[in-house]
Amino acid sequence: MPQPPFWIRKLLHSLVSEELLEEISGDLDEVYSEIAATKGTSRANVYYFFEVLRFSKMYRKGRHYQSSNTLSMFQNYLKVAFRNILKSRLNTIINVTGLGVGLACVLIIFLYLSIETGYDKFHENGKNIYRLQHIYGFINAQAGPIYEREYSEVVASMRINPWTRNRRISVKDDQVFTEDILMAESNFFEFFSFPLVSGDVSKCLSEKYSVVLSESMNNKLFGGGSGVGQILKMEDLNGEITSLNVTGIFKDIPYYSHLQFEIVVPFQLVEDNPRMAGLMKSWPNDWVGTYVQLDQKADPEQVEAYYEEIWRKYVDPGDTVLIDFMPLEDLYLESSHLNNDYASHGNSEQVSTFMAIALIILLIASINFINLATARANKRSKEVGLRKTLGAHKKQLISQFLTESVLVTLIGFLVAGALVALVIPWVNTFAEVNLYRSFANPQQIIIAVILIFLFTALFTSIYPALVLSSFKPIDSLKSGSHKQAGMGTFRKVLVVGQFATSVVLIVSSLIIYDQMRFVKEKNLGFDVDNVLSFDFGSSDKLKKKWPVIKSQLEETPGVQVVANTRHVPGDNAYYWSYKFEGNNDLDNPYGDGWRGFYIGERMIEALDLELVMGRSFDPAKPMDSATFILNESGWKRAIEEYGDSWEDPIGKTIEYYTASSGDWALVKRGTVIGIVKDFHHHSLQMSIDPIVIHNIDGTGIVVKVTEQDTNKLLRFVEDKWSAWGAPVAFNHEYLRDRFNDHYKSEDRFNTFVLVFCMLAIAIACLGLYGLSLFSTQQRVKEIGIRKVLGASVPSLLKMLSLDFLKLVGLAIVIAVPVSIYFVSGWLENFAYRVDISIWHVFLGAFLAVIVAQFTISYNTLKAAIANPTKSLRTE
Amino acid sequence: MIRENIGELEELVMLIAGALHPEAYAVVIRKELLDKMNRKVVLSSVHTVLNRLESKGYLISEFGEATPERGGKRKRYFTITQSGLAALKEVRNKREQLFSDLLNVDFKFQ
Repeated sequence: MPQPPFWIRKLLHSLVSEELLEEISGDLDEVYSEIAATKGTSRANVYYFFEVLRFSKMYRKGRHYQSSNTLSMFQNYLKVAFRNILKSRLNTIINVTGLGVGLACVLIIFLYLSIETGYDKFHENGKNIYRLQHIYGFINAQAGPIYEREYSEVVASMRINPWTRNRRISVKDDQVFTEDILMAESNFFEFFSFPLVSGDVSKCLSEKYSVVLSESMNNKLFGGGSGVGQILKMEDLNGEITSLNVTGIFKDIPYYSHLQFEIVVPFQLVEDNPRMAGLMKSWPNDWVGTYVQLDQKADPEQVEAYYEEIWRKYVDPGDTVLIDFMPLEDLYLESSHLNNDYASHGNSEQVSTFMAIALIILLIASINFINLATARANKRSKEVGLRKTLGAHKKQLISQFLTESVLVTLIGFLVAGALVALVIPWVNTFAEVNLYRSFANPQQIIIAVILIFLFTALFTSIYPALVLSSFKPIDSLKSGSHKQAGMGTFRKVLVVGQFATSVVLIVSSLIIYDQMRFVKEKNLGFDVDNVLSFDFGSSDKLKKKWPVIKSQLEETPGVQVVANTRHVPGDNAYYWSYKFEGNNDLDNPYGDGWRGFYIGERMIEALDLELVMGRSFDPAKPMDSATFILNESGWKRAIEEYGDSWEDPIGKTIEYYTASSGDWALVKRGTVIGIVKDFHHHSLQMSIDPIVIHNIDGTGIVVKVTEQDTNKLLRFVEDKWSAWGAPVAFNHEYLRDRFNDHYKSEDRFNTFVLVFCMLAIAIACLGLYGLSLFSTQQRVKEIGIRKVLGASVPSLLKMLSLDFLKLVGLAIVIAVPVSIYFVSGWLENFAYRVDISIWHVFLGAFLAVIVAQFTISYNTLKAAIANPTKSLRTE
Repeated sequence: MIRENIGELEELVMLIAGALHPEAYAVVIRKELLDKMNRKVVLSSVHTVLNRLESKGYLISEFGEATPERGGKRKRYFTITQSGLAALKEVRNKREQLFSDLLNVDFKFQ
């Protein structure tokens, strides 16, 4: 015989009072079996379930013995809560503003974090995909295929070449676009989960001359229709045109992918290119993005360690090179430290800093709430006493105060929601983020909001509820008993904790601000103002046109120096291998190898680099292409490592080796002709490396102009660009912008930290204000009597302020070492940093005292100058 | 004596409970309602009505013997009381009075 599910029976048992249970469950069983027999068990189950609900409504357990007043009591709690909220308006305003602003900060930070942590989570095999990387986000072309071939743990591998940028592509001859192109192996769309709109996942890249477009690229090139089956022409830097057959269209890549691309062509195009053959085989040459998918059971660390074996087997038996397996899902946040990468990155440190700030703000706002609630406790003690006398249980009182706290938290949340809605557009513009993006995942936000709400509501309400509900009626109803007149120890601890946090924030803000200014004002070691750079795309073509370009530019008014270069400060200097005179071994290009900085003619003059000795590269001397210049750090390193003979570096030889064509080969042997002063060849955050400066033709045109002529120059170059035959689209960059860009995100982050710190401090002050207001109100009579007996206003002020200032003093003592610890950790990120001085600490402490004093002074002053007749009149 | 009003469903349940005596309990009453009157009523409603009638004093109930058919759970049998019967009769009398009044009217239906 069918039986209703056990849990429904259980429900019936728990809901319906016992003396009715037998009859009801008997009747229900009878009907159940009848329905089960005629209409099936599931219908019967549904029927049974609803009947249980109906019965439980009528015959709730215990209903016959006592009339339950939970609901009406709850209504009463709500009513009392509303009355209290309205009665103590200032208190409510402080709580609601504090909570509202605090929660708004927390929510904004949460939205930001949900975007930053949501990258690359959509790939089907994402959990098992790793990228091979060590000092760069890419690696040699050999590693991937060898891993796949030789290790069974590696299920698949996939290589990309992300360096084909600014290429001219066209469908019709008269319409040419300049686009970035991604080269990927044929299993690209199977390996990753970028969905295709049309085309075959496994076949669309298997033909050598095929191309796959994003939906919007397809629309751009082919109007509205699908381009599948049509021909796309791609021009390389030498002007050779390759015709590609459109074989598929993929959905536009979402922002939350570290890999951004619109056009994909087969990797085979590079692989089969005879000019790339050497590069394909070269081991120490990193240029290919490589991903592997591991077996679910494989241990990534173990597979990672196989690289040592591979390196010994294929490259150098006596050498060790290690790489990292970076999990695809962590790639965006965790590999921002790499020297160079094609992928976009977030910063995990920023993410954790923001998390910490969110928590601090939430804590400070909650502490306000707790403090004010407990401080006002004895105002409520009569109510508690009366309720208890009339038979209220402690549980009921706890739930009453919980109701009140939850209500205030709820109002705070509404305020926070409104604030967030108001400031999101502003934050978006200022931070150059799109916080609306996070709404794509609403369930995540809903869950987070509920969790934050529950946390805040419980955290703020449990302690006050316990304190309030534990009053003994006899004490609280006895007139004139004010045991809680001063500040309770617990409250003192909270205030000290809150203010210590604020002092930490103040001191940190000061130092962060100082460091930001320091970085901005630090001398880069070269002239960045009014230096413009243009990327010509091809060094061969530039070389051919150079005499024309140079003379035309030099004739332009305002132009001071015209230079040619491969690297511009801010670029990554390459690691290759060098053999310095006095040293017989090639140095290891990884680890602490030498970096090379490649510049062309007149670049030293354009950057206004200062020569310590020797001379600069001279375009009039053709033999100068085989000369080197060292920076001062490089010179020092040479003396240290290769002997004292380097004390006199001019004329010493350096051999330069690369592995571009496979094996290490001597590329250039030359002499040192000069030493330049150290300059920041990359961002200020990194220290200046010892570098070897090469004289090599590059693709960059660098022009130094007088200030008023930059726009004229820009127009001139743009006009001439196609006449000069540049294979890429016109582009330009101010050197200053490039350096500012390096700091922009850092700068923005620091500004946000500062803003959040200020808000946190403001919220803490709000709490202090409320507390001081309360405690002076408590002592109104005492102050009145003191005044009558002759106390002066200053002495009263001193007495009233001292209570708080003692706490602030204690907070400072605690906060100083903590803030020094945190900030010095943060400063470690910078190669060049300000020192934490006693002034930072002193100023921070001083500010904290001033802020605290200022906050409480309104209340203390008001109390001190009040007329005692008023306060003593009523008794 | 202030008479309580009797609802339509109450009246039906009372009639059925009286007619099925001594075998009247919730499940069969519900079944009768469905079979004879074509009224589909959920069990809990039948219970509500029965309890209400009992509290008005029109019905009394007692538990019967345990039977194996419903897992040994006893049925609660309802019996109509004297005042219940009187109430039913009064409702019927009033209704017939009204009905005879109705019949005296000379309708001109077209």
